[in-house]
Amino acid sequence: MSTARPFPSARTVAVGQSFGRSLTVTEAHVVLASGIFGDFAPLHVDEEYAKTTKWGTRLVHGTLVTGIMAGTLSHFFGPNAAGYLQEEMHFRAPTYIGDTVTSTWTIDDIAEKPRLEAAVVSLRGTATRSAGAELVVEGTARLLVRL
Amino acid sequence: MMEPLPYSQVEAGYAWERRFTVTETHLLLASTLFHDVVPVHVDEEFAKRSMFGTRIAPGPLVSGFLAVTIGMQFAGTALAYLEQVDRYRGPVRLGDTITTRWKVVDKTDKPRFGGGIVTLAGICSNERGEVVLEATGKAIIGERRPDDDDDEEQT
Repeated sequence: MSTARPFPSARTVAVGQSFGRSLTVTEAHVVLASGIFGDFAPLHVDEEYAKTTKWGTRLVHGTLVTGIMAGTLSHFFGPNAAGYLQEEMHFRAPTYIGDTVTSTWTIDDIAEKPRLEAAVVSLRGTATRSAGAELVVEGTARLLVRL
Repeated sequence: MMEPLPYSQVEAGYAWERRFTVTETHLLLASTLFHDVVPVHVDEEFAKRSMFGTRIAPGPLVSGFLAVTIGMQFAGTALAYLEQVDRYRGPVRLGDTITTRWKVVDKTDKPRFGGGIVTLAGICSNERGEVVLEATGKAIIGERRPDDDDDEEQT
């Protein structure tokens, strides 16, 4: 039996360390995101309306992109991610259906909380879209990671 | 559909809310769409033994509920969503009904956008009255939908 990759813990990562991943955002993402958020704003669901706007087509929900960014943290720390504490997200440009979004995080600080057997890990992150590596979202996050 | 609110009708103190029940569908689709597949979101047996007692929603699902509460109020008059700061205060469990509330705290005229920047304070609580998320948001709001222009000329 192969051994699963051990997930990083707060003591096996270092300030300055970066990690990330890429996901292609499809029409299915936008349709399903409209459903779970209850967001049927015309710019997300009405292609004919969207054509008349300066963007020319439907846009991806900003919180789908920030969800993918947060999911990148879960994906990296796995079960050692004990709690998502805070995020500050700045929306810089729209994301379009078909874009491959690359989410990258860099660790800025690790503050151990021995009583919780965990550390508060602070990170700064970006999401860029494949076309021209354009910045679409940037922000910071803090999460509790097991020691 | 409700008429979107134009910038000129936004006043500090204006508040509104929406409600969302978090179902199996939300957990499955949010985990899938965000690629956020950790045991607290997808493994009920693991989650039962955790401090939460059942599966919990990915934070950004609830952050998204807050964002759409702005988006639907200003659908068509919102020109851009600039930022959202989320402070997660507690877990959102499967089956919880979440009330999202926003209150306008400030508005700054930006004539070149035909509107201005609206700053908001948000809060999410569950049906037991426990606060699960506190947030601030900033959006550029205009006066009307671009495709309203034709209707205006005909009347």
